[in-house]
Amino acid sequence: MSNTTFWLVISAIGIATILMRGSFILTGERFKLSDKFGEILRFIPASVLAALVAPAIFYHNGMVEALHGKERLLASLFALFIAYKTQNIFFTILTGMGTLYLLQYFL
Amino acid sequence: MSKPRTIKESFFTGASTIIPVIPGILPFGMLTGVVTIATGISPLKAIFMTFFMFAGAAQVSVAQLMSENASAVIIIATAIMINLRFVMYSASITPYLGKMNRLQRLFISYTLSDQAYAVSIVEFTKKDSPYQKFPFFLGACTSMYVTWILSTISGIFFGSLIPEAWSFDFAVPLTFLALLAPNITDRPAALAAVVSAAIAILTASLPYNMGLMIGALSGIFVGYASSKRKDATHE
Repeated sequence: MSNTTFWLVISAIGIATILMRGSFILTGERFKLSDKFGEILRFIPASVLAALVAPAIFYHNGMVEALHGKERLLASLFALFIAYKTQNIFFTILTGMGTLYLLQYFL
Repeated sequence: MSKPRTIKESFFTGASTIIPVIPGILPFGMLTGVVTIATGISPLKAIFMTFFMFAGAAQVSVAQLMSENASAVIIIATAIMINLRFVMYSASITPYLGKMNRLQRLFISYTLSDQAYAVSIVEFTKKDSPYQKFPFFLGACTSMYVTWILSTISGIFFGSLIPEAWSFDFAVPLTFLALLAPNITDRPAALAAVVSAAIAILTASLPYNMGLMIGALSGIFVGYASSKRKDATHE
C-alpha cells in the first residue's frame, strides 16, 4: 500500500467513525426517539457486547488447540458467573485470569 | 434519594468508573499497538491510526488487512462494519446527555467508546443516580481516551516485551464479559445476549465482521420480541 493510499484510507475511516459515533450525538435535538425505539435500544448493550465477545472466546486459537480453547471457555463462563454475581469488573478479570492460570497449570 | 452532585463531582466520578476496566484496556491497547507494528506499519503511522481511529478491533483488523494487501475499499468497508455498533451506542446514550455545545458534541463524537458507553449506561439507567449525566459521560470518555492512547502508544514501543505465556490477551474478552453482566437485567435481556452470542459464533466466518452485526441485531430482535410477549401476557 502506497503512502498516499494509507493516509487516504485512514482518514476516510477516521471521518466515517466520527460520523457513526456522532450520528445521534451531533444531531440529537432534531430526532425524537419513540418509546418503541427506546425499548429496542434497551437490548443493544447486552446484544452487541455478547456478539463481540462470544466468537473471540469460542474460536480462540481456532479449532487447532481444542484443549487450550476449552480452558478459556471454562474460565470465561466462570468469570461471567462472577461478573453477574459481583458486578465488579476488576474482580471479574482477576477471577478469569486466575482460573485460566489454574486450568493451564492443572490440565 | 442521595443528594445531587456538582458538575465537577460528576465528571470525576465518571472518569474514575474507567479505573476498574483498566486491567482489560491496558493489554488490549498494548496488543493493538504491537499487532499494528507487527503487520509492518511504521510506528509513526501506527500512532496516527491510534489518534485518528481511536479504535481497537477496527485498528487491528485494518492493520491485518493492510498486511494482506487488501484493497482500500475492503479495508474501509471492514472498519465501518466493525464500528457500526457506535451508531447504536450514539442513539442509546444521546437522550440522556441533554444540552451540549458544538465543541462538546464533536469531542464526544470522537471519543465515544465501548467502555465509556457501558459504564455510563449502567449509571444512567439507575433510578436514583445523583450524577449530572453529561459531565459524567464526558469524564468516562476522557479518561478512557487518555488510557487508550497511552496504552496503545506504549504497546507500539514496549508491548512486545510482555511474554506470550502470560496469556494477557485473555483480559480483553474478560473485560467485555464484565461489561456485559450488568446489562443482563431481566429475562428478555439474558435471552438477547444468549441469542446474540450464539448467532455471532455461527456466523463468525462471514467476511467483514458481519457476524457481529447479524448476531447483535438478532439478539436485539429476540429480546424486544420476548419483552413484548411478556407485556402482552401481563395485560
